[in-house]
Amino acid sequence: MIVRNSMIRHGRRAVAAPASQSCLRSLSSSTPRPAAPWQTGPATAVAEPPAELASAPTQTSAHSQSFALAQAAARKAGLAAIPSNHAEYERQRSLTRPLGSRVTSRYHPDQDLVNPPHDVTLEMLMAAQSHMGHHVGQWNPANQRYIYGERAGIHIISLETTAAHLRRAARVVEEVAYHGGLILFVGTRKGQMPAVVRAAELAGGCHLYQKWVPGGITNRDVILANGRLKVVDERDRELPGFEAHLRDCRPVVPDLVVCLNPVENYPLLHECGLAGIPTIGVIDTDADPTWVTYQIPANDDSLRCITLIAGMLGRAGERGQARRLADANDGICTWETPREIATFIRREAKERAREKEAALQEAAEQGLLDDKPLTREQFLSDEELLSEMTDPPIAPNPSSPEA
Amino acid sequence: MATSSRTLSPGGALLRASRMFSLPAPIPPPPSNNPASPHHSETATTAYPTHQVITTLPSARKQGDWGLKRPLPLKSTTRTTHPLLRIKAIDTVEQITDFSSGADHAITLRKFQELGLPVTSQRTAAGDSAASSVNKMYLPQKSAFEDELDVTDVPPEKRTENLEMRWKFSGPWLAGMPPGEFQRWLAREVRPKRAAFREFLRGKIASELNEAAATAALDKAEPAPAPIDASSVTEDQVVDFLRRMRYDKQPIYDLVGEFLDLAPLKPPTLVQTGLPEQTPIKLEYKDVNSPYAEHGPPVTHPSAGLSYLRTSMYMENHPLYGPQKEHAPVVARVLRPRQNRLGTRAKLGVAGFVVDSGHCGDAKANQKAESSMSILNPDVVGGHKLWVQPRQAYVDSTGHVMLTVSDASQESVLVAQELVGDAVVLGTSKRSQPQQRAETALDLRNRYKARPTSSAPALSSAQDYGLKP
Repeated sequence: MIVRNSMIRHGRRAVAAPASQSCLRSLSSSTPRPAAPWQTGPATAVAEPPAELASAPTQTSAHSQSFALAQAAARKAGLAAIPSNHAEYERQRSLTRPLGSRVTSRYHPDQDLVNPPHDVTLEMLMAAQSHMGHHVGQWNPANQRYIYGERAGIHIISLETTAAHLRRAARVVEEVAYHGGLILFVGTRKGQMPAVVRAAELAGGCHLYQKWVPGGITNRDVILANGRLKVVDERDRELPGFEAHLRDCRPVVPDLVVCLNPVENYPLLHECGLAGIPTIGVIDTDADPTWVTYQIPANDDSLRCITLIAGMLGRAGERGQARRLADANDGICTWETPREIATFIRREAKERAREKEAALQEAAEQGLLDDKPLTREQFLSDEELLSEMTDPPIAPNPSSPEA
Repeated sequence: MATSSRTLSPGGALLRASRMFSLPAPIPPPPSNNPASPHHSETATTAYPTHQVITTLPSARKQGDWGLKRPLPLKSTTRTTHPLLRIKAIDTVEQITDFSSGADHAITLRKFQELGLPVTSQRTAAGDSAASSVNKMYLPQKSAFEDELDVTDVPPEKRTENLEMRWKFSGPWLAGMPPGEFQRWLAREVRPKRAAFREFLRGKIASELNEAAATAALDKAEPAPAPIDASSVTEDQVVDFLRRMRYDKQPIYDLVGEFLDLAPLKPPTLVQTGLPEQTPIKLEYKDVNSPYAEHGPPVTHPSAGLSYLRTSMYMENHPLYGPQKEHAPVVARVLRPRQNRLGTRAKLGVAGFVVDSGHCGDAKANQKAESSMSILNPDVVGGHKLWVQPRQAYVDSTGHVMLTVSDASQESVLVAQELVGDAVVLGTSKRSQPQQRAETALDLRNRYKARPTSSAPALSSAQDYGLKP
């Protein structure tokens, strides 16, 4: 049956009522009821005005008028009492505000990720389960000096040793960042991605949370051939004019590698060893501490422990970067220009001087040169001339490539 | 001592106070759960828990953080009503954390504590035999925490004094020892103590001689002679004493038991000894009243940590009806109906424990319970249920919890049913079954409708759109 016919038979109410029910059905979770035969057409949302509003009050008797007046007076009195009531409410609130307890610090699972600490305490390390080593049968005897004891079938890593090694590693990260080094954070285990990315973000370094491509350092000319490079100054501003060099130079290698799971990343650590790159690694009781340069004996299985360690190292890198930029603003550059870039700059300058000489010579041969050409000083005012003579010349900024 | 004076490093002190270190070591499994036995089941709930059950906060559980070596798998630890785990190993050679759900024992404990029942000590050696349970059923029982019963630190000279009260003995229970273990125990523990036993005997002989001398002096109306010391007893006297004792089994057993603090033994019956009925040798055994003589001392504390209540002699108060004579009854499920042909009683499930029905259904008023316990009706979903009154609980030698229940009185059942809305008393309306009736459009409208307003509404409501009938 089409809608038009149902409208004719049942009137407007028939269409309006199922429309409201279909609206409500979308809210309900009850089983749908079979629709009436006249409801099968597409529903038209035509709402009927409520009957109460249509019938306006028409009875005007003296009694109802006085009642309305009294109601209005009561309403006005109620409105007039609002300010005093509100003042009393505020007074009570101010009296009771200092009562009760106030919870100042609460544990949140993401707190080490969002706001990593600058330094760890033994309590934080223990709460992060950093002391839990592996099953006693799995141990590497080279880790004996880090092990405090044995409990419940696992080795317990000494909290003091972990804290001391972690602070040393943080110092290494901070100084590498201060001297403009490139830091690579590696954590390839499931769930370590947020911690690794956050640490790299804080320290201004690079991150790796997937498999390390073997040969990324030793065979980097092939594997990293398409990586983009840029040359920056001491304030991390990109410098133009090095396109020719960037076209020809080799991909960069990190200056420090922080590996959060060394057991799975032996190829990376081996390449770092071959290339002479220092490494920092979280060494559990089953790992080989000789794979990395700076060991952090801790539990590498707990994500909470990894987040804490990575966060603290990231904070250290952040401090180093901040110190470096502050020194750069004071005119101190904390790093030396790499040798390849210095050679390139020198060669470029020599080439440019040679071209200028050739141009001058050519001009002289063609007789285009003045006998007494205008010098730069003749364009300057007296004050500018004076200030140029008294102020020392500023040395040109060195530059370095960075990935 | 060396350990107490040794200074502890700050990290060591922290670790010692940590939650991981405060997890107790697992206790041995119940002896009945022998994997070689034909009734062994891997999935059955053990008689008593052996591992500590742990839990974690919801926010940490979402990340798998249970305070252990590694995050636990989310699939099996987050989709559970009761986040309770028992950790069998923090780390294994397979590099996994071995865990299983601990909800069985934890929920059983919660249910038992809802019964409000104290754990009593086992006071009769008769055990579970039906004949004796008739007598002891309503006898007042003593809590397992009574000072005279819950004694573990006994000085050696007072070992014999409360032998029938104690549950903890430093020596073994010989009747439960396999022969090989008995031989090993003899070789390792007993033989090195020969000299000490002779010293012990000297003390006994000296006190015996002193007593005899004092009695003789008293008979002659003379002052008692000075008591002799144990060191003045000669070796010949000891040997004579031993020769005399060798043919008197009960006294020598008493002496040996006192020296080694052996758990009490129930003397064998004539049938168990295998001697003929008309034996010329008259066996003289002292009757033993210790409740643990027949089945050995308990493997756990007599309360098993189930309840720390000392008594059930308190009254429950109802807000309308006042103090109640009986405690609140509980619902039991009929696990196995009684078999009149075999004479076995019905088995009920009460608060997670299997209970022998005992005298449930004997009351004339409880004919319904009687019928539900005697016939197995497969049409009833979940099995028949009936209200029972838990009376007492004790833990037997093997660590099993033995509950005793009886018929619940009609009044207490009615009060309990009214509390959950299953009965009508004093005009209250019975709880409607929400599953029985499908939700109608009117229900929906009532649920979502705006509050009735007396005057003109300040805000628009469903009424304005014609949605209210």
